[in-house]
Amino acid sequence: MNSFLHLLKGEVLRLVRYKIIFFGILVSLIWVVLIYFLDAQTAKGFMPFLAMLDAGMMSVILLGATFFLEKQEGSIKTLLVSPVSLVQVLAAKVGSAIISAMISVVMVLGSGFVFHGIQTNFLLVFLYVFVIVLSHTAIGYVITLRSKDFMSMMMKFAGLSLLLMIPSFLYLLGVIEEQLNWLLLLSPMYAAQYLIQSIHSSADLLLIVGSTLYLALLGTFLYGKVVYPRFKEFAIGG
Amino acid sequence: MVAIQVKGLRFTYPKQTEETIKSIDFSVEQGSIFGLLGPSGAGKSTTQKILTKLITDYQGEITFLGKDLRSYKKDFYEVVGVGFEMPIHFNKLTALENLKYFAALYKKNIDYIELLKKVGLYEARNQEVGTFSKGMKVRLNFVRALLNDPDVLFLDEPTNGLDPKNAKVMKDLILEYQKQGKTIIITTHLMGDVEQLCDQVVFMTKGKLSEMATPRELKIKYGKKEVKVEYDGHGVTSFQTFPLLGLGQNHEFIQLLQEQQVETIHSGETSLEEIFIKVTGETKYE
Ligand SMILES: Nc1ncnc2c1ncn2[C@@H]1O[C@H](COP(=O)(O)OP(=O)(O)O)[C@@H](O)[C@H]1O
Ligand SMILES: [Mg+2]
Repeated sequence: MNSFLHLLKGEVLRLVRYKIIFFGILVSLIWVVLIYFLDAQTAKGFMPFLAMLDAGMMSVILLGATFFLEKQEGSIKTLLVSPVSLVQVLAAKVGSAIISAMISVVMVLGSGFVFHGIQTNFLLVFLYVFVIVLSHTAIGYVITLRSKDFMSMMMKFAGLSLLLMIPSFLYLLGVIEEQLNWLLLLSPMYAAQYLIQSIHSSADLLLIVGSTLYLALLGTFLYGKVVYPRFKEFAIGG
Repeated sequence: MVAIQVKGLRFTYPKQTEETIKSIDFSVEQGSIFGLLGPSGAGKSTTQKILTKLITDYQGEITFLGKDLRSYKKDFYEVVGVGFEMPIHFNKLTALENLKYFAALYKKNIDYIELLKKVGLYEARNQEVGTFSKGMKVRLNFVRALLNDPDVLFLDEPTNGLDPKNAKVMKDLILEYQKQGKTIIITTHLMGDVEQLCDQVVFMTKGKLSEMATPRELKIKYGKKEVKVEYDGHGVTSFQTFPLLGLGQNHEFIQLLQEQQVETIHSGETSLEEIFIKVTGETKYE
């Protein structure tokens, strides 16, 4: 536990030093400006999508950038010959991703309150961000472990995102049949959006619980079965 | 006592068809400096990665301090230090920040400030590692490897990229560390390192090992067994060579010493480099 906290502190320090966190904040600032110019009703509909972009997609991009940077520096090797377990190393990376996602999501949802008086239960937000980041970073690592560099990782992720965002667009366009909603939730990105949206708008409790469990299990499964077994070999390999 | 025993070690990288390590055997005595010598691409770093548990899907048996290497968990790294040939630090953190960060992960630490002074990096301690020269990074890697005062220290090409002065400092520090009873395994492609540091050496080429020997044994076994005498022969330097065997009874040799103005006498010193070529059958080194 002590090592985990130390690793987490190091991850956060590096997010700051490598200016990775500022990139995330910059993007969120754009959302804040956008929310300022929207009317309350539109903002309410749009905020969950933006929060999903931050907690889901941005955390994958930041993860990919960090991973290839650390691989290039070789700094990941040093950690792997230290008396810490790979579980602790990965947990610290997820932890720092949650922290940077929370910063962005709080900026987005907070500006909804400041500009339009839209209230948010931030305890729920934290729970949802936790499962969103867990599942999305897992997907991010699965892609990363199959890519030779950041560019090729981004290309694959862009392709996958287009596919997974179809449900979100369908929702934005309002062309979803109510009964088919659960099917769209199989897209982790849509599930993420659905969860955040459930904070402000009415939503099906079963689907909320289902989405939360789905994202948690998906993340745990991918980390356990794909990322953990392959991470070390990929991190040290040529 | 044996610190590391390797038997029938084989390894193939994923997606590779040829074995990178082709069934090698060797053992490392506790308290010794063991040298793994060979040209680049031989498989030295791969062997080090296996011995330091960075690569785990090898075949064969490795016993580390009396136990199967596979049975070790993360505590393995409390007693082991690993020096890499490539840079391994966070570029945007200073040297001191890097060391502090890694040091906090161990139960036991050395006085790394003192060691920074010894390798000549103390003045640069608050500089970002990204601004370091290659040689500075190599020296910082050495400090990093020693952070936990390891009982077994692995160093991959520890002098590569260092100027002669710093290489000398590094070698002295390695010898000093051995004096504390530590076991050190060095991989290198430099003959000089082996001659000056190693108690035992094996040659590695294309994933295979030659016999294990001391640098001195190798020289005796493969060295030219003859002396060369240079003398002043009427204003021009002439020379003659004699077999070492029965030199004291060799009349020609004694006569030469008595009658000529001798300038130099050399015994046939075969360099390890020449021995390497003989032992491995490689026509060219490097
Ligand atoms: N990650 C890797 N994947 C595939 N092949 C590798 C990898 N790393 C090294 N090799 C190959 O294995 C051989 C041995 O490499 P290495 O152990 O680094 O040699 P050395 O340290 O003696 O220079 C080389 O042919 C090298 O190309
Ligand atoms: Mg090497």
